Amino acid sequence: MAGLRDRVIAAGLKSYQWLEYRLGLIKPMAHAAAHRTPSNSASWMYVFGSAATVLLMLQVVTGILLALVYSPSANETWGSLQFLNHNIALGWYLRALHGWGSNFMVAIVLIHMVQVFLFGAYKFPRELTWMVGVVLLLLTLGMAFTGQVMRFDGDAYWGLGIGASIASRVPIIGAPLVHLVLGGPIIGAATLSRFFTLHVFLIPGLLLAGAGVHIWMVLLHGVSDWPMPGRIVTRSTYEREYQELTAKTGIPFVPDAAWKDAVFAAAILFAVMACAFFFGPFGPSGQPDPTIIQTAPKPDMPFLWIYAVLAFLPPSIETPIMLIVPVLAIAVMLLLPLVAGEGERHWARRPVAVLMVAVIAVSLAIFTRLGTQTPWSPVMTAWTSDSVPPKYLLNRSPLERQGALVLQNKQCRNCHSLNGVGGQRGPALDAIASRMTEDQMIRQVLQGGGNMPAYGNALNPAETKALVSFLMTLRGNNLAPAADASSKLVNSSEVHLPPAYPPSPTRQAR
Amino acid sequence: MKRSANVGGWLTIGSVNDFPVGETRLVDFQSPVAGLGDGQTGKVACWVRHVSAQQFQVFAINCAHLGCPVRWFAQSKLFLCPCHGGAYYEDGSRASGPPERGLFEYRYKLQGDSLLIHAGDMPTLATQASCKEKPLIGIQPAVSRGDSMPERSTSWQG
Repeated sequence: MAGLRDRVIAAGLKSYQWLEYRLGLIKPMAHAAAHRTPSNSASWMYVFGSAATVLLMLQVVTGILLALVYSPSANETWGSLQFLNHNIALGWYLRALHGWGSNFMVAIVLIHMVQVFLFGAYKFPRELTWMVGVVLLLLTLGMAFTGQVMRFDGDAYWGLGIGASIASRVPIIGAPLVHLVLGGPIIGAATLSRFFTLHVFLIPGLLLAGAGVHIWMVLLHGVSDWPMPGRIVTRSTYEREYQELTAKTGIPFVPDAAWKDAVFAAAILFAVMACAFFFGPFGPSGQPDPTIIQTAPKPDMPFLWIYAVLAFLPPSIETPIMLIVPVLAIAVMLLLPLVAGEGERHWARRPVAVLMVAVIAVSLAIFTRLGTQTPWSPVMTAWTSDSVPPKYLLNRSPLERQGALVLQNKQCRNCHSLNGVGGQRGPALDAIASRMTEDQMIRQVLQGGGNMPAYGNALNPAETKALVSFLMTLRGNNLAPAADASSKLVNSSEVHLPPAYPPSPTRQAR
Repeated sequence: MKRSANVGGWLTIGSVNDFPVGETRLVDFQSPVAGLGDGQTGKVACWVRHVSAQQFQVFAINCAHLGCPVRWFAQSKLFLCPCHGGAYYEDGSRASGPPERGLFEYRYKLQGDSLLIHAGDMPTLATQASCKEKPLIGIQPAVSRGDSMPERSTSWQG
């Protein structure tokens, strides 16, 4: 028995030697995996890069499996996704894994980037590693956007429309650029084909190659050591100090440091699996039929903040901001290590860096939250579906109740809420009469202004009178009605001196 | 390269009698530039406003802001966009919100009883040449609408 075991081991060893003699890769790879790294870099804060790589692998594997069924043809895509969701065993789960894997990957790549930035790990000699990382972030976002197009439902159709509309704002080459994006004059088969090519061939190829270069540079320069306040990075001394630190405290990367990466990556994979299982796949929503206009298109999670920002930019500066700010932002990210390649690494000594991360993170969170709620969008069905609260009709005159009808009929509720129900584009009307006088309301309704269209064309005098009568009853919790301070003066023929001014004593004497 | 204005062609979208004067209706048609493989995406919708006997306005459903489909609200006489809340008056001019101009309009002509429009490119700020000419960067102020109101037909102004 023992003889057999020895013979199997010997055969295995021989096969390995045969392979390695010809391939020559296994030994260098094992050597690289076990390279020594400063013990302070074996931290739970250093696990995000490897988790992003593992998620990339998950996306590749699930993507290949999806491609076995997915049909990249404008005619059939939507149907093939329905087939995957409903007719193929665990097809829905595969789609859910790919979709949730995408969200997790964007999140982990961003967290990885924030960690590297806060730890000053982009400084010498790792400048190029950071720059390749910025490109990898952009490629990841490119995968997320093109992946949303792959769903080819109503949201994907109008999302492409938004992309084309942004491209059309580029001066001079706008029209050819739109044609380049769409592959023709309209969104159609050619558009889907080119986004499929981007999503399945071009961007993944660049992403895998870029990730390879990124990891190679990590191996070449070593995992950055834990930053210490006062330990300054300079080109002349850093590498010597790093080697000394490694010689003194070095531990083999595999397994002494890498086990944390493995545990975290496994936890992330488990989280993706759990989200996929409990929340299911994304869409597809309605069919990509542009004649179905009863829709409120919205982008996927990673782009919701852009969708929100686009609602707030003033028309006059929207195009310049849309075209210039992204270029500047990418340039700043790319050039960061060239400008700040030396100096302090610890976050406690870099308050501006910490403040920037905080402001950007809070801004992204707020805009993403706004993107889920879209308070700027009219609620298209509010005028027929939301009722006027009964308390606003109690003890009202017939004219005032007629006004409540006008309010519903003229679709005011689409933008104005009553009792918290209705659109939020305009102000809530519950206490409008405590803020505006009758004259101001009439002017606002008929002529519009601010963000409100003019309703002079859509309301006759009787409707206007009734509407304003109703609005005049809306004083919230019995607040005082708004008053025009100058109306008494304007309306009276004589100017009465207020009693605050007593008659002059000289006049009294006379 | 083909000029955008030459992309596409004329097609009939209905009979004049299909559109009562004073009303705005949604019409679907097959894009003249759609191919076999385009499936549903080859379909297009537009809003047809019959102004007076011989006068029409045919609006693209694509919002001039970022191309989302605008919806017509007959009671308030407004086109509203679900994406970012752009609003347009019944004549397609900008009312409020982020759009920097009014709705895109298709060129139209009447042949006998038929209403024809010229359609091709998906209307965007750069490719609207296939639509009726309108100033590209003429930003129309929303607030001044009130001043120009008397020019617009108002039932109660007679």
